Amino acid sequence: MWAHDLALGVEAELRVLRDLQQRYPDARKIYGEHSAYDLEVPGQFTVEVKFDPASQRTRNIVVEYYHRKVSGLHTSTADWWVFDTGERFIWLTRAAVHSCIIGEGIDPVKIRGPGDRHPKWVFLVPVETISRYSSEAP
Amino acid sequence: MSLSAKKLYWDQVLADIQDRFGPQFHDLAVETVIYYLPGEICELSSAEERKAVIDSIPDDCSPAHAKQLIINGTRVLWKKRNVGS
Repeated sequence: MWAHDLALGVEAELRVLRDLQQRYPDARKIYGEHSAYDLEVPGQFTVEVKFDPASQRTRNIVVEYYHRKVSGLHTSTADWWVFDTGERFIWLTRAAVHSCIIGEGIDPVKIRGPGDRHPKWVFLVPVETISRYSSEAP
Repeated sequence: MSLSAKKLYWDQVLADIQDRFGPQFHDLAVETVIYYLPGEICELSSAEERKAVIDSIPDDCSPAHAKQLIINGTRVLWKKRNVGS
């Protein structure tokens, strides 16, 4: 399950990369399990990609920040976050993700994903809500 | 974690977390309380109090992004609460 999810995540990163490369030909993927972001346009900005196809069914985007240790939103240093719902990309600056969570008063919840051995702490942000904080892709 | 945020001042927030939670939950609590602090700061009646609370957060505190997140979050909530009032 974990390997399958990882593969889907990598495919999402490559989809976003191809999109970015149309505007920034030097955009590239960062390899490494513990990298602080997934993609970069050297000297310009960095990007974190989150693939969340379940949001089509749940209507919520999962924003993880703690999974036995600090993770996700609290470890990524990316300038931009892009949520791939499987239907579309939702682009936000990192500050906009925080603004959305705090501005909308979204409480953290503990969940255990299908492939998770341990529970994780996340924000479940309605797709419509997070979309209001989104921007045009850089 | 939301109760710890009511302590407002960073060292008091951390002390409350230590009192309230077992050591295995301290990191999680600190990572979470930062989302509740902006709401508490916005409840303060004076700009001086709000500034004092924000100034109590060390620039180099852990988590690293906490101070800026709290400042930005406070601005977002303040603007939202004062729109149309």
